[in-house]
Amino acid sequence: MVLVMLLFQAPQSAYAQTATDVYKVKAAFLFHFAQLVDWPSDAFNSGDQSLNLCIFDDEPHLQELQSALEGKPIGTRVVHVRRLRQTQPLQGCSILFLGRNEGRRQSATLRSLHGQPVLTVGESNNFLSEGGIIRLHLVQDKVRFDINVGVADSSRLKISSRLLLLASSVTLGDQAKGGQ
Amino acid sequence: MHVRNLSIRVKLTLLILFASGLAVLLASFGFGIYESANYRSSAVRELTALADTLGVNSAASLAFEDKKAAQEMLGALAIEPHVLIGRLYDNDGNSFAEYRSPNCGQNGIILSGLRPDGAYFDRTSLVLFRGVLLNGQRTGSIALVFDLGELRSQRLEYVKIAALVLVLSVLVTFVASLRLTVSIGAPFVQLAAVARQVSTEKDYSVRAKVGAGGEAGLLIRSFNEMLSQIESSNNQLRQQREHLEEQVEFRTSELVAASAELRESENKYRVLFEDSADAIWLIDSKGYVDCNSAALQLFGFSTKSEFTHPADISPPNQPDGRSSRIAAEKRIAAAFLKGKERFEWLHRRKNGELFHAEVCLAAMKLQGRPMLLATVRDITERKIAEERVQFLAYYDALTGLPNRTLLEDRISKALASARRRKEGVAVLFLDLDRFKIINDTLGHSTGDALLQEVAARLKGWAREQDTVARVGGDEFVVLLTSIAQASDASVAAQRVISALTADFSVMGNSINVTCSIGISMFPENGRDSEALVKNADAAMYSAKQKGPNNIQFFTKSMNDQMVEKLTLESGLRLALDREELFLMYQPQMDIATGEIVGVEALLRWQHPEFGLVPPDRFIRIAENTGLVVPIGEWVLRTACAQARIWQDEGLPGVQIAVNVSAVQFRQDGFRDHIRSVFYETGLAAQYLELELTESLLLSNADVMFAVLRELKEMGLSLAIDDFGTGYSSLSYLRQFPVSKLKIDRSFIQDVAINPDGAAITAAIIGMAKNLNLRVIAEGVENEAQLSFLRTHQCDEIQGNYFSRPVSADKVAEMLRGNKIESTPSPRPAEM
Repeated sequence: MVLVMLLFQAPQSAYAQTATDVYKVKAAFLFHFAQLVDWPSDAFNSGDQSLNLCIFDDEPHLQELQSALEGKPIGTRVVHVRRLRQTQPLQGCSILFLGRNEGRRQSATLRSLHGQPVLTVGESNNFLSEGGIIRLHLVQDKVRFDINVGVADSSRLKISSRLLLLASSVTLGDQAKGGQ
Repeated sequence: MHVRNLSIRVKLTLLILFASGLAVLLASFGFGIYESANYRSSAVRELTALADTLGVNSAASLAFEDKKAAQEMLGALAIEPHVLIGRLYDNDGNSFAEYRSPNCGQNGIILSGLRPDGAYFDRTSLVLFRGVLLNGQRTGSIALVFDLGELRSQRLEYVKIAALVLVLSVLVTFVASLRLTVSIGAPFVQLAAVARQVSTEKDYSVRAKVGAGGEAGLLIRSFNEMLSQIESSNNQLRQQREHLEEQVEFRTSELVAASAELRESENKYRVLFEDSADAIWLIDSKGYVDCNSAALQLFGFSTKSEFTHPADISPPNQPDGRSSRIAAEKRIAAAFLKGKERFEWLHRRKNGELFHAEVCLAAMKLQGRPMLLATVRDITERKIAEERVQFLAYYDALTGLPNRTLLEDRISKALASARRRKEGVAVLFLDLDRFKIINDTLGHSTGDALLQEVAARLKGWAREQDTVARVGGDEFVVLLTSIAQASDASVAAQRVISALTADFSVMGNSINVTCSIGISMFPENGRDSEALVKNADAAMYSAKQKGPNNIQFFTKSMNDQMVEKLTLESGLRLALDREELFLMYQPQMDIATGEIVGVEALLRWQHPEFGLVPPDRFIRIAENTGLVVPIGEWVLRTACAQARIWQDEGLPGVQIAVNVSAVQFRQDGFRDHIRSVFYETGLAAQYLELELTESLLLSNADVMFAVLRELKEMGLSLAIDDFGTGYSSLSYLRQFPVSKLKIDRSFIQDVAINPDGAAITAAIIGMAKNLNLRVIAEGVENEAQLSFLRTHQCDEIQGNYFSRPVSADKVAEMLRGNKIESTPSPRPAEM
């Protein structure tokens, strides 16, 4: 309940946003993405009731995201924030959040996930061109997002039209080479 | 003008108009409300659908705080002209995005803050609040404002249409009601006109025209009928008046003639009154006015002036205790009131003699004065007869003692009082000994006279509170109250016996009476009248068996004896059919020759339960129940048949002696029966000897004489049985055609031991010889008795000393060896 209240309080303080406030909003966005995206039926291990949100453990805002999202229900599942070490394989992740400071690791990670049913959400400017699915950015201090529908399709993820309608821009192409 | 004074046509028209107008108004109003509610609910429904669609589409934009997208979504409301405002709220209730219709400004509608979900009506608009859900989770709220202006204009349309319909319907109704009221009112207008005509012209022959059916037609027809009746009764009245006038005239002339006749008839009635055999009075309210000569005669007066009031010719009080004067005045008043009064009255003659009368009072008018005509009839004889009937119901006619009915009543009362006072009651049942014999020998009239004497002695002996009743022929019951102990009762019984000890002198005979008394005590021997009398009877029966003048208290065993007696009685009724009866034969020996000269047939009864029943027990029962007749006939037939069998076997012929009871002898068909027995069995009459008792011969001697003579002429012989026990003298018996005398066993028992007995026996034998009668001694038990009898030249003997009663076969055997048995050997003394 506290989490829900936190979530709704986020827009209220939109005029004096600190970095922490912004990440609270982003956490809410991540939650709503999960609500409006359909994973293929083989995306989850049978019997696993959690929806794993994977974040590399060097992400500076990991703490805020984890505290905002851990344990929140989405349909019949529950969000579980999994901290990833550098070398750790990405099996079991339904959502992968990549922060602003990924650098080279981002493109390699996204490539390795090509065709996997993992919703990738990132913050860097070239996130979509490197094969990410949803990119978060700020427009006039408000959080907005872009969607690469082509990558989503090749990852067999269905994105609700209601989400698409709200995207700042929607990219159709699958910029990541090596796909179909 | 007040509504009540309006004509019926106007009233009806107004009523119909009011009703139809009200109906249209109510219908319009109801329809309007229904439409309005319908409009509102469909508006809510449509608006909800719209809000939900918008909500679904804007849920995500709320979630992602995308105001622009939300604004665009709300913009879609532009195609809904009636939606004035659409607004989205975030979860904190802050306005998130808003749409306002161009019409909104002119209506001046404002939407205040967020309210809970639901529909809110005000005068001009409907506001709907709904939640916005994203995948089941609330992301905000939507509010829509709906313009109700159309509803208002629609309402106005309805009102216009309703008004038009109202005006039209009132018009149509008015025209229709005019026609209707004319058709209803016309008959009444006509009736009113006719009625006015009748009242002004007094002409009852006018009639209203019947133009309509239904109630109006019925009313007119009834009105016409009423007129007809008035007309006809008017005519009748006129005719009657004319008739009456004629009558008065006629009567007047008649009366003149009648007054002459009246004088004549008055004389006639005076003669009838005076010469009537019934006593007649004329009474007015004060008392006697006149009476006829029969009345004077009835009461023994010589002039009419000797009495003035009914009380003068009555005892001071009537039998019911009322004062004669008051009762008479009451009767007279009642007769004046009711016109007639009939009652019984106790009158008194001048000489003081009282008599019962039936009085009939009849009211009449004489010369205008109210009078009573009283007829008095002497009903003394009728009264006596009534009392006699009353008496017979409760008293025995012969002795005047209470009968069984009254006795039971007295016993019941005595028991009730004894229960209260914890006292005893004794019931003495008294039966005269040998009364039957007295009755048979001296005649019924003597018997009746004796009973009256006995009753008188008992009555004289008894205390005031005791009851002496006669309950049967010679049976009396004495009820003793306030008995402290049983010995009181036995003392009383002893005194009853003493009271009867002195000889009775009845119709020239001196008779000695003994009795048997049975006593039952309350409460020990019975708790009601029936049980007490029954048990006293049983005790009496037991006393009787113990000999004369015996008293017995009831005991349980007596009851058993009584039961046994009754069992025997019912058994005896079946004995013939069941062939339980049989005959034994006791040979009779000629003393001189030692030969068997005859046998006496003796009846025996083998009861299945009690074995061989002694004859003295069941013969008495047979006599009391009348069974003695069929049984006697059977004995006679069987004995005669047996005698014939012996003869057919070639045995020497002997006489067979058969006892005949008095009851049997008195049967009308007795002689015919004997003839038929001779005919059936083929036995010659000379071989039958009938044994008759003394008492039988002496009762009704004249008839007996004729019967006996006839029997004698048939050829059979007659013997007198049990001689010496009765009251008869030998010389008297000589008149009867008897050939043999049988001396009773009680004398024979005495001959050897008692000089008196021996003397009597010798005397009887001697006298019988003088009369040329053969003599047979009964119950000979031993040699001493035989030698005495032989010495005194008795002809024959019968008894155990010679032979006990034996079977028919044994008799046959003895007859074959006749004379062999002539030197008898001693046998056990036994029947």
